[in-house]
Amino acid sequence: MIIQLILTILALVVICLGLVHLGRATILANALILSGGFGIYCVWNPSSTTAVAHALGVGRGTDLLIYLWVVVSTALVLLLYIQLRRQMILITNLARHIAIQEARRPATNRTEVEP
Amino acid sequence: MMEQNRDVWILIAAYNEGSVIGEVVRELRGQFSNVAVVDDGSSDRTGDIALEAGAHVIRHPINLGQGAAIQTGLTYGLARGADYLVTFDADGQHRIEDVKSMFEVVKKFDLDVACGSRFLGSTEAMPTSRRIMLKLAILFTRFTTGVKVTDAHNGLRVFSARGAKQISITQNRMAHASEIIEQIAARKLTMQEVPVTIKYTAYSLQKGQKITNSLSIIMDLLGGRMHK
Repeated sequence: MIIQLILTILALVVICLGLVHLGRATILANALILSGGFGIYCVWNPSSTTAVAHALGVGRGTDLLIYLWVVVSTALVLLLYIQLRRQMILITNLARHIAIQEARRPATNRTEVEP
Repeated sequence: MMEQNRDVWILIAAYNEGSVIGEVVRELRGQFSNVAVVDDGSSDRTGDIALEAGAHVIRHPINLGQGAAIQTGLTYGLARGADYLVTFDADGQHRIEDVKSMFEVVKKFDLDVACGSRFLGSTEAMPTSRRIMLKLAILFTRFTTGVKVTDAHNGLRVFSARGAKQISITQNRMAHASEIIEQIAARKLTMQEVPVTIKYTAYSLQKGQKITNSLSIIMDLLGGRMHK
């Protein structure tokens, strides 16, 4: 019974975080609110996940949640990786722009005609 | 000679190469009037030494990797109106004679790019482990790009301006060598390999690629495929 209360409080914190972000980062906010709500439902109705698990051919509800967790976290890692790569390309372009603007030319080449 | 090569830009990506860069630049400046060193955020005096030796110096404010530095060099050379652009390693393992012979091939056959191949040419003092690793890299590149290269990771390349404009390197680190071959294939650039000699010195071996880097190159390439 105590664990259910603790988990419920944690899920409520997640929902609050989602509410705070609502309006700024809509997708993230919705994901937080939904997963918090889903969490509370699962905590108080443990048999419900088991029912779904049985329907899908998985032994226990807990196992089903573990599988889902693996899928979701893998997807998140990939999304983060893509996002990081995108940011690296932006940073590179910025650094390249600065570097070319501040290029230093050798003293002996001053007579060169500007393109 | 100087006048002949005014339309050529020699591009050198350098990261903490202070001990060798001056000599490499001076040797090149004897034959080519335009040498540009991309200082990839070195913590030593690489940039200052290269400038004193007569090179243009473009300094990345942060260290980005060799691929990023080569792209910066290509962008700079094109902006300065280069007709031909040469990528050259900073550690002194390439020979100027090879640049000239590759240059002749590009001009003669009106190519987009010529790539140096150490396996068509000769190599001085290549360790066996290095040979095996490079051969595996060649198999990998042939498999993923379908281009029958004989040397996938040679830093010596001569681009015509037309060819260089079609290359855009997004692989900041070492995977750029494979990325260039991929783009040559995808954009149907005309390419020919030219035999070159690589001088393996204690310095170049110490700075060179370790076997453990192969895996991270493959990871970078896969990452690049996921997101264009």
